[in-house]
Amino acid sequence: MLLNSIEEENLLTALQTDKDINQAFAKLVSLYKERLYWHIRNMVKSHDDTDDVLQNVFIKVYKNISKFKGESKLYSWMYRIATNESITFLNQKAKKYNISNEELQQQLIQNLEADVYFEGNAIQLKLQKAIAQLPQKQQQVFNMKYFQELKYKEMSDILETSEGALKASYHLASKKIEEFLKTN
Amino acid sequence: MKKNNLHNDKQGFKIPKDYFDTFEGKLFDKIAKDKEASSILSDDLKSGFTAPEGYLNNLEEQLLDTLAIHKEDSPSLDLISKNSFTTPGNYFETVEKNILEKTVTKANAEPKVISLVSRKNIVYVTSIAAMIAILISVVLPSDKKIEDAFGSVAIADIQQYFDDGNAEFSDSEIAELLDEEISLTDTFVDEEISEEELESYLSDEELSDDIIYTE
Repeated sequence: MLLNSIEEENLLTALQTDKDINQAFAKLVSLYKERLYWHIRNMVKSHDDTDDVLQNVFIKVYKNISKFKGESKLYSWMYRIATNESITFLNQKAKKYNISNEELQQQLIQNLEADVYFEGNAIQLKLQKAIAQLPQKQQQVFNMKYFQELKYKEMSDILETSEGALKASYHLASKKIEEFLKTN
Repeated sequence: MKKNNLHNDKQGFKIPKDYFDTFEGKLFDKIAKDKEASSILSDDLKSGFTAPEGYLNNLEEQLLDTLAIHKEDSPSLDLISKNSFTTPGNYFETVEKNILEKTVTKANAEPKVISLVSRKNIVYVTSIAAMIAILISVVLPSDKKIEDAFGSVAIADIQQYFDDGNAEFSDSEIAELLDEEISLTDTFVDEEISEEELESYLSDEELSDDIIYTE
């Protein structure tokens, strides 16, 4: 559930007030933990990695909330932090194993087959493989639209891209995935 | 003026006799007949088609089975379940606790650290430093000014100044000024004391025998 403008403004005021920050932050975590978890999970795939990234995201939010100017929506700001943290995490992981991002994507998908927290059948695994073939931006757009069912307006706020471009990107991603599913 | 008269007089239209009086009766008869006709259609005239017994009850289940088969054969995005990732039991309850422990609770437990390198402090320090720099440059003369001041003093005047005993330094002070290590004891080591001088010194001193022989 997303907050309306007034609720978000009240929560933000409480978060930026030393006196109320603890209570307000607990509310913020409670409201957004699941949404952000699935957003990150779709990018980094493994539950344990997602857990690490999610906690880092909230720690960053806590430390930087005083600097948040309210120029964008609170949720889109948090989603952006989550997106950036996930990408940074994946880049670091690729660097650690001295492999390219594309190779890392393939490795993450292979790991899913043995992942106790992945209960997908053959076709769901194939879908993940298809997503892994996409460029990073298209992966983000597809995950946000298909799995999280975000509105284009919300995605536009988060990714700072026009709705038209997002629609085109999602259309292209869907076509590529369907093509992959048919041919593989 | 009556309505009928108005129409008759100006537009030339006519109505059957007693039309308005009988209109309601005719309308209700027609409605009743239509109702009768529609009930005949629904009750008696059927298409003749039949469906297997219980078909509609099982339709939903059958449809889902069909979709599942179809999904395996020719997957389409619309038919793929989205819930393939799972989380450990109670994960979302525990993660909230973990996050709060690392943020809110930790912040409460630790005293707030005020950084010395804050913007406010930097402003204070730089302004104080600037004030000191201005004071030094205004109040204290520069090296060049000092050199000029000494340059204008005649050497004779300086010698006179020392001769008048205005600048008397001890050996240690001079050594310090020259920045050299001069051992003051070395000065006397090589100095030979003649036996006469020694006898004279001893004769002048009142030394008791006790002191001499107890050594």
